[in-house]
Amino acid sequence: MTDKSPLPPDSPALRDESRLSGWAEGLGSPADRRAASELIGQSLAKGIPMTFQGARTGLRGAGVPNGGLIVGAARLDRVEGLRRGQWGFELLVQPGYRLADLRRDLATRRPNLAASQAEPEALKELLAEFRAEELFWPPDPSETSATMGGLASTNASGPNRSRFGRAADHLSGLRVILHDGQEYNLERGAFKFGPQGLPLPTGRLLEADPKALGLPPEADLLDLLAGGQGMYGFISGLWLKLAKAPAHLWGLVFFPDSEEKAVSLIEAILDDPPEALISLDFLDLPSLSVVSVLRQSAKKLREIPEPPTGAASAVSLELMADDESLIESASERIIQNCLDRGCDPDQSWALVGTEVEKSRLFAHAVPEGLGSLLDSVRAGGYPAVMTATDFTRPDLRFGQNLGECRRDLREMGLTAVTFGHALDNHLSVNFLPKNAEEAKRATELMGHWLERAKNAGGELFFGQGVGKLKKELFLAHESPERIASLRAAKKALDPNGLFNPGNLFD
Amino acid sequence: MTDAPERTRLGPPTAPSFPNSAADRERDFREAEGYRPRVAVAIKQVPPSLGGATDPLKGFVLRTGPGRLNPHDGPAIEMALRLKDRYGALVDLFSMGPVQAETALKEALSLGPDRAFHLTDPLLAGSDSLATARTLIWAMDLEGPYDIIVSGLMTSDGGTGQVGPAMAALMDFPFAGRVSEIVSLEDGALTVKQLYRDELLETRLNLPCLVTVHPDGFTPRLPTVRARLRPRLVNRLTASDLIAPNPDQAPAQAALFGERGSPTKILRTHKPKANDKVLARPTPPVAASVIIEAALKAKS
Ligand SMILES: Cc1cc2nc3c(=O)[nH]c(=O)nc-3n(C[C@H](O)[C@H](O)[C@H](O)COP(=O)(O)OP(=O)(O)OC[C@H]3O[C@@H](n4cnc5c(N)ncnc54)[C@H](O)[C@@H]3O)c2cc1C
Repeated sequence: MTDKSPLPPDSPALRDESRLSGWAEGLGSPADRRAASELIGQSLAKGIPMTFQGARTGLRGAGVPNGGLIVGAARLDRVEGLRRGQWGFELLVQPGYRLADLRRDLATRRPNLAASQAEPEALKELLAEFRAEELFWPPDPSETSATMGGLASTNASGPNRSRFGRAADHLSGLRVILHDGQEYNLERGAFKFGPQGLPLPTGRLLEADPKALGLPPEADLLDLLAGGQGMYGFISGLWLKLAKAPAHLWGLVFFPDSEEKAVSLIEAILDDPPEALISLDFLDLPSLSVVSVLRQSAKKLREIPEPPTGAASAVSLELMADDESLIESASERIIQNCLDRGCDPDQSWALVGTEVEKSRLFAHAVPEGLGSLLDSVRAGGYPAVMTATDFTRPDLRFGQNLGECRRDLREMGLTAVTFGHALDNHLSVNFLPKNAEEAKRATELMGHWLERAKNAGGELFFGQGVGKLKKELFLAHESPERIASLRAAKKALDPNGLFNPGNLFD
Repeated sequence: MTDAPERTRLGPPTAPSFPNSAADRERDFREAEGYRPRVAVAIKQVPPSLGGATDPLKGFVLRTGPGRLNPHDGPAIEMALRLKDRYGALVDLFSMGPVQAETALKEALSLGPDRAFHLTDPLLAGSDSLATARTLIWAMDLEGPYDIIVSGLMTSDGGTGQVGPAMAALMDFPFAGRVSEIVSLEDGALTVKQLYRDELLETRLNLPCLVTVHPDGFTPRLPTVRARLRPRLVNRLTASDLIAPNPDQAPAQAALFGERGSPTKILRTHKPKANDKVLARPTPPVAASVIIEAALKAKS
């Protein structure tokens, strides 16, 4: 199962979507739980460092190996159980089960439960009840090939984060292999922060308070492990909390003919957000160009039309409710917002139900297309990597935040592709450095922005985390208290530093 | 079309010709001042299939949830709407299907067609591709006449690709399949490009005509927010509406509806082994004879 020779430098297992690349002694892809446990147990016993990988769609190099062994979870892709817990239906899946698998199984309502240990009659009954309901897993990160292990480890979220939260909020339990080689079943709430800190199942105590770790006061061990970027242990199973899907979902995309109008429309919606609003995204003109370029090579994208001519930006939003009239009245209001701000409401798309996949595909094409652009820069000789911001600015309105970024970009002579989730006031400014000098200036600018965000009480690594890509920025700009607490967590959960070395810390 | 070569008719009886049918009404309407070409689009609601997911035990395509517009019909509607944008055509949609299929028509109406007709009646259930084609053209006859009938290449559930060509044969209309581009609509003719693999064929069809649409050429537009919010009226037609103009022909016609009027019996389905190769790229007449010879050889 394990290839003893060092992996060749062109092996895809040595990189992820950040375009960072690393090195490794070998790669193991266990196909079942026992094999995974055996592989990790032996590596721990021999002191071999490990890097865990899901689908390698991560954007911060967190799954890029830094020597040692790669443990790939992609073949651990089964559904192991279904239960009705205190939150409703919950599905136990292995870490290599992908978001696309989950969406398919929820749509067909036919998860393959051949691996379930449950008693057949009881399972049959439960399945019948399960099939009677329309369920969904609320987090909506757009990369559906990502695995559940990866999504949990990066505490992924998507445009609807401010309404539904992140991956960790929708887990009721985790199964993890910790540094003692033991596999633990951790239920939500079983290990909570107390006045002394967080008691761990290994018997140790993590002396840190949740706030310093960037966690909410009621957080438990699950919240720490989720978002841990594989630094605390291997996730071998996840209990996903499923929610009842509201009856109606609409996706609206408006195409204002100037960025000013787009910003003004967004701020009008933010001033009085409709109850049914679950996401509100902004895409700038370069983002639209990125999608246009990707269209030429991505057939799926050609199933949706080009934006209307004259579009200079896009405002994409989703509305969800059981009562469709709530969505209709919200849409009427947004049309009025458009008219009041000189945006043509007929330069728009309205998608309903499963068709909403089209507006999601459109927005997803921006990060996807940025990856392809990076590849072409790399083909030209400069080894460009993802260079993008992740901070939030609670002190600024959406337009002020964007305006500040635009001004600084101009002053630094840099260009960028900018999009973001307006409900979180989170902008993703993506630089496409074509040489080392541009990359240096981009990093410098990101440093300025991180300092400003820190002073304003914002999150610095809000979207995708730190991984290896942003380690230097993290160590230079994150608050010393946060860094010290995360170091303590790493020490308590991985005393020998064998899990995902190189993430966050050297 | 009078000098069209004699054709083999499609098996069992074709549409009875009605003395007062729209096709027989004044023929010179197209010459009238300000005349707007009329386009009918045949569409269908199909059950959603999810990324080719099949039942692991039974092997059939998994279907759940509400139906959706047949994916090949979006491009057909788009072609009709481009005829509307460019030539001011009036576009009507026709769909035969159960009551819930009205949703697909409503969705499609938000893209900009003028009217929608839903043929729904228990008598029509169980129609095969021939009975479907026949019923659709009766309905079009009732609301027409139409200059151009457009249909998708095939349906995602039936997959026969026969309804469009069968309608053309029944109406004796010139037909072009796999249309991927509109060249012009002028002088009583529609000129289009047909996409066969990577070859484009330019074809001029005298009106009235029928085309099926290749999805590559017509990415469907998406509805605007205002269009989505607008009330959309779907006209319902039942079997008795189709019979109404000709009460004396009612029994004969009723026998052609639905399952009774469907001669197809599916014995088994299988995927034919791909056995195609490029024989030559000569001029059309030579090409025709090469292909026919090869086909005859294969048959013998
Ligand atoms: C085009 C594009 C769009 C994206 N959009 C979003 C988005 O909207 N929101 C979002 O949050 N992310 C987004 N991402 C980033 C990415 O999809 C997520 O980070 C995802 O969670 C990574 O999952 P993965 O399976 O690919 O994990 P990997 O990239 O393989 O790994 C990510 C991290 O998880 C760890 N890990 C993986 N499996 C395990 C395990 N079993 N146990 C312990 N640790 C493990 C790895 O060590 C690594 O630290 C996007 C990426 C792309 C390319």
